[in-house]
Parts: sequence; structure tokens; C-alpha cells
Amino acid sequence: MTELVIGIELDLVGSHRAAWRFATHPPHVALNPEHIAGQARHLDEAGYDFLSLRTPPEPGEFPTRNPLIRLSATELAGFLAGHTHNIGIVVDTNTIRAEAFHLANQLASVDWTSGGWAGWIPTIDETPAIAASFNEEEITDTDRLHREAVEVVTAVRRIWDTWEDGAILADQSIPRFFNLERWHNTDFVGEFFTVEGPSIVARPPQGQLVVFGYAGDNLGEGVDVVFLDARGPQEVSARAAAARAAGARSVIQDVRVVLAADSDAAARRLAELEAAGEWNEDRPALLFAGTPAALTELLAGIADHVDGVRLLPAVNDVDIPLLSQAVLPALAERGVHERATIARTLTERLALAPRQNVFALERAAR
Amino acid sequence: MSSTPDYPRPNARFHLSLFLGFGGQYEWAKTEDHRDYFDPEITLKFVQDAERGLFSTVLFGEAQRHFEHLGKLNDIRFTGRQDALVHFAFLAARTKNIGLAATLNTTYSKPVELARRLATVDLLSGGRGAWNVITTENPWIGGNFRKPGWLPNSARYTNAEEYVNGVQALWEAWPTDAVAHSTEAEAWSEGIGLVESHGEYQRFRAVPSVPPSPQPYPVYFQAGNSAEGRDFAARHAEALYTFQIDFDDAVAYSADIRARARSYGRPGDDIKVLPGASVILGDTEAEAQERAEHQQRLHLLNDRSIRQQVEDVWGIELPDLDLDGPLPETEPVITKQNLGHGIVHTGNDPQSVARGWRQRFEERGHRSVRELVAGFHSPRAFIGTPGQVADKLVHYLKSDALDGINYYPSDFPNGVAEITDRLVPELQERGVYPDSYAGTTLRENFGLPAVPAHIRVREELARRAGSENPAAIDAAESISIDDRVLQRTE
Repeated sequence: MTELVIGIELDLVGSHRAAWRFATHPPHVALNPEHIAGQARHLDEAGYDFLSLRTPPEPGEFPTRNPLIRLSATELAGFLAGHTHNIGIVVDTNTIRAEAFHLANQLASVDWTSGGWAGWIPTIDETPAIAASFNEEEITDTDRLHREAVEVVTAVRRIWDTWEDGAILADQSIPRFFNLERWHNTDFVGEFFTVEGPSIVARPPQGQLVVFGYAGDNLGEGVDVVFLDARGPQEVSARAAAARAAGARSVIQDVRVVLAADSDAAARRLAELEAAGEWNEDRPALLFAGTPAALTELLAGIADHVDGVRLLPAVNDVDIPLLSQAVLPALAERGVHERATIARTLTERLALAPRQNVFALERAAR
Repeated sequence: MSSTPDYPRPNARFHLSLFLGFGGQYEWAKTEDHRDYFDPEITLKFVQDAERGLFSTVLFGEAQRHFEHLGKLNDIRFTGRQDALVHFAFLAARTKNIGLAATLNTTYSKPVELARRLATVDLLSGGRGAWNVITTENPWIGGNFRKPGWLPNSARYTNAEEYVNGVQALWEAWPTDAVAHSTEAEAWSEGIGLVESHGEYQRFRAVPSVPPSPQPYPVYFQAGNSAEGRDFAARHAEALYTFQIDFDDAVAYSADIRARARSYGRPGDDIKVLPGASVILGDTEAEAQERAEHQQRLHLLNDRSIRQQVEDVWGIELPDLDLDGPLPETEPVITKQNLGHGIVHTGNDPQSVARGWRQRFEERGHRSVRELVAGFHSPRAFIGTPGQVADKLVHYLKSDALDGINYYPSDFPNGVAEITDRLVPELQERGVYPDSYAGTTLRENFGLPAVPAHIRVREELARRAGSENPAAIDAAESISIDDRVLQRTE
């Protein structure tokens, strides 16, 4: 049995739209910075390996009543980095119409502020409302959307490499701050855009952030970790094998979680939630409603097929305490999950080999 | 000096702002590990020293492209730093009172995204966010983005005004009481507006996703200096990052900006004037002067830098130029220089810059290129013993030449502690500096009115225009939040 990486989605009140109804705090408290920080500190201390944050889709045809309140994920990540120590902080951002240069710099700063614990989920999000927020027509050609996403990932990775190791001399006697042999223009030319200059932010502590992708988006070589698209436990093994065959270096399964002390109560909770609304995101995921012991069984079972799971707690106030107090310790007892004390970065925690700097490779090839 | 009876502002209060720079501007030898320049934990110490000294804000400059020299990357003049808003969100987690002012351009980003990012920092810092608006348009910087040169330079203020109005409308679309206080409430939040912008350059349709902070919107900084820029500032800005520290220039600038603000119905003192300056202290005046000269030599006046500055104008390498002799006899080989290239900005006209330099060389009786270039870089600094500097700053403050300074430290990470430990007590002793923060938001700590300036200006203009002709208010006419048109008067 391999060791399982355990990630968790941290949405403001929970991963379900109706979470606020079942929270133990009134809605406005969810926006208190100390409340937000406290949730992340808890996840860090409880031993989760990474937390993930979602960017709001570009605001468009949101209802003006009960909109999904979401802070900007890169800034929220910087804030949580200031409150945590050994937990990965993974942010998703849309790639369509994105400025690769801004993204590369913002994400590099998430890595710096977290001391090497940052990850990135580039997504392909396009709707008429998103297009309207750019005063543009919706792009419906899915092949074109896919090419743009791959291009953004490629460019962002190249920008991260522009400050090679040894780029800084800071020798006042010469005087030179940079070693021009190790500091490079990006010189990226793609189908949709070009990027000329070097990164503004110094190379991230991890060199390259860990890049996650959804199996359905098929973003290719630029992705390190793939979120599988299984919808039932019996599909996990085949989906994992398919993703690995397609080149995934690590695979993770999403699991929506509704917990209670007994399975009837959990089923009642799920029914109440479903009557009140939908899950925040409609991407494929397993859905689990039951006891902590049964969830432990499920996770231990799929640990043979995947490198990790990401848990999507329906209601943070209810589900996170049960996960932390009952599920994580039980997994540790069974040797399925251990607190990440040895890893110094998210790359290490996910047991990924570091990527080589493309400029160093290009020099070696000359 | 401070007892002079006829000061226009005998009871004014002094503000310190920390200009958070980047490795290239510091004395490199004083920083042990080069990675420290980029390590947020080390910068945090710098900012905590400022907070201990009750600085009102830290101001972060923006860089969107590194400088070049003769078309190649410049290895002594550069601008590497963290992304301002991600970094500020981190600082928000680890500081309590200091304001966080990010310089953000209106050319290569979208109002919807910037509004969300800034509002997030403002919310997470408990109302300490600020936006220093700059309007630079420059196709060379655009080389890092999707549409280089999309905006004609002449339209940059029109674009900026549409952009800023768009951001403001997105912030105001969230009523301050939109989020419910009970899980039994009918809705978790309601009353959020749909914002539509129909400007010439900024068009969008969006509902924002981030609620307001306790202040409730970020404070507006601006750094414009042209007449157009100053008028824009008079309508929007609550703090100004300026460049005038010569006393007469500073008094004139401050009088001009306050008069413009009053023309929009503002009291005039609700706009904080903060010139960028360094402060170089010594136990004696002579020691302070010596430190100042040392710092000049380190950066802009070392041989490589002097040669680069001439080469920037002449457009070619001048390896044989004798820095202790006259300027090159030949004319510049380039007829156009792109803004952003090199240290010396020629305003696209190297020939006339070269003529000006020759004339200056002649008129001032310079004997060398070295002397000429040194003359361009007289330090923008207050230099002396802590008591001398404090006296001078108090004189400037009470004469209404400024409301404080944006302090440029010269070494890292120790360049702030000296101000906090040596200058701040002298200012406090002179009664112009507080003993504690006035509140928890930047708006409170700046002593600004509770209602942001742009809202007061909008209401004043609407009042003047009367109800018959609300469309006369060009500043806001292309923006609406649902049917709540922003120029309403009620």
C-alpha cells in the first residue's frame, strides 16, 4: 500500500452552495480575516498535505442575490502563506485571455511567500458571462481553448526559468548585480501572444511550482499532477491507469464529503444539502456520505491506485473537524497517511522529481 | 524654528511612508545573502521596523519589465521584486496597522480583475489597502503582454479615468451590509449590483465577488505630475506620491493640488502630499554628508553607470570615452529612444538631449563627463543629524510643503530601523508625530474623511449640475450599477 497524499479544498464556507445554512457561524463571520486564517492554521496543524483555493470565474451573469463569494485566489494564498508552515497552497486560475506574464509573477510570489509550498491549477473556463467581462464574444471552439491553455502553461513555466540559479552576483566592486549568462529574456513566441522580458519576480524557491491539471482538460507535458475524472470508486483504478499512460507523473482523485456519526444522519445531511442547492463546482468527483470510519475504508481502498485525494468538505464547520479528528488519525494508524514533517516543499511532499531549467537545457544543447 | 507664529499649518501632523524598493537600489555589500532581497520573511522585518515607527503606509513601486541598455538586459539597473498584491496579502497576515499601497498600472490589466485583487487585500488586511494609480503606456513594456501598444499615449488619461471609474463601481456595487448576520436569513447576501461600463477603452459587464472592507474601499494614491494628471488626482486621489522636495517647488506643488481639489468641493487637506525622499542621518552633519556622497558613488555615479548614461543617449557603446574628459564629439546615432530603455529617458529625442548636455557642460564650466552626470543626480534627500532633519521636516510640514515623505531606505534590511529609532523620536518631541496608530484602517491612520474622495466629488458635481442635466458629469456618465446610476445625488 502506497502512502496517500491528502489535499483539501478550502472554499469560504464549504464546497456546497448551501454550506452557509449549516455553518456554526453566521455568514458575515466567514469574511473575517481571522476566521479565514484560523481555518488554514487548523488544516496546517492537522496534517493535510495541501489546501486548494478557487478563483471566482470572471464575474458575469452571477445572481445579484447569493452570489458565490470568492476572494482572489492568488492574494488569499499569499495571506494564508503568512499563517501556515508545512501545507501546500494550490490556486486555480483561468488560462483563457490570461496574461501569462502577470500569472507567472503572481504565482512565483505565492511560492516565495509560502516558502516553496505553492501549486497551480490552470483551468479552461469560458462562458458568455466570462467573455462579457472582457467585452468579447464567447469562444466556442474547444480545440482553440485547449491550445490557448497549453500555451499559457508553457509560457508561465518558461518565465519562471528566466532567473537561473546563479543569476545574482550583487558585487559592487565590478559593479554588476546580474550575471547575464544566467539571466534571460523569456523570448516566448506562441500562437496567441508573445512574452519578451525576464520575470519580475526572482525564480520561485521550488524552481517550478507544482502544476495540477484536470484529466478532462488534457493539458499534456506541462502538468505534473492530474485530477482524475472518476465519478464512482470502481472507476478510479482504470482512470488512474489511463492518466498515467497519458504521461501523468502523479494522480489525485477528488472526493466530495458529507460526514456524520452514523450513516443515516449522513444521508439526511446530504438530502438536506441537495434540497438547498448544488455543489460549488460541477467537475467529476466521487461523492461520499457516511461515517468517518467508512470514509477511511474508502480512502484506504483507493490508495492502491492513486497518489492522493483531494477532499471537498460540504460544510467546513461540520466536515473539517470530523476529517481532522477521526479520518486523518485513522489513516495514520493504518499507515496510509503520515504527517508531512520531512518534506521542505510541495514538490518534495508529492515526491516529484524537480524539473530542469529550460535555459540550462538550451545552453547544454548548444 | 518650529515656534514661528505665521506658519499656515501650525498643527499639521507628519506621515511616514516606506518606499519598498528592490535589490538594485540598496547598498549590496550590506546584505549578506542575495536571496534576502526577494525573501518575504526578510522584507517583513523591514516592514515591521516601519510599523514599530508608526509609518502610515508601505508603498510598493511597480515594474512590468526590466531595464535594458543598448537593447540588452541591464545588469546594474533592474527592478526585480515580488508581485505587490500577493506580497501585501502576506504582509497583511503578519502586520497589524501599517497601510499597504500598491502601484498598479491601468494599461495591461483589466478593471474586473484588478478590482477583485485589490479588494481581497483590503478585506484581508482589515481595511489597510491602497492603490497608487499610474497610467504609463509604453509599447516596450507591452512586449510582455498580449496587446503591446494598444493604447495611444494621448488617450492614457481617458483610459485611466474609465478604468478607475470601473474599479470604483465594482467596489461600490457591494453594499456594506450585503452579507447576512444569521444562518436563518432568507439569503446569504443580496443587493449586489451588476456593473456595466460603456467607455471608449474599457467596456465590460460584471457582478463583483468580493465584499468591501472596514474602510470600505482602498485609499487612492496617485503619482501623476502633468496638469492633466493633477486634475485627475484632484477628482480621485487621497494621497499623492510626488517628486518635489526643493522647498519652493514643494510649496507651489502643494498649493496647486489643494486649489484643484477645492475646485471640486473638497477641503483640500484631504489629499496627503508625500514626496519621495531619502533621509541620510549622521551623528554630525559632516558624517551625514559623507554617507550621502558614498551612496551616490555606489549607484548612479560609478564608472559603469556614468558610461551607460552617456551610451543611452548616444545609442552606441563608447568604450573609449574618457569619463574625465568632454562628451563625445560625434552626434547620437539614434534618432529615437523608447521610454523604458536605459537609465536616461530622452523623450524620444536623443539629438536635442545631447545638445542640452553640451550646453550644460559649457555653461557650468564642467571639466568632465563625470562632473556633468553627477550634476544630474544631486541626492533627493534630507541630510543631517536626526535633530536637524526633524527641524527641516517640521518646517516643510507647517509651511504646507508636504504632509510627510515616502522614505527611500538605502540599505536592506536595516535601513528602516534607523529612522524608527532616531528620527521618529525627534519628530514626536516636536509634536508633529503620534505616539500610537489612530485606528486600524489606513483611512483612519491618514486622518481622511470617512467618505472616499471620489464619492464626495461625484456628489458635489451632481449637486452643481442639478437634476436637469446629470449627464453633464463626464467623469461617471459611462458607468452604471444596475439602474443605480452613479451620479445620483440622494
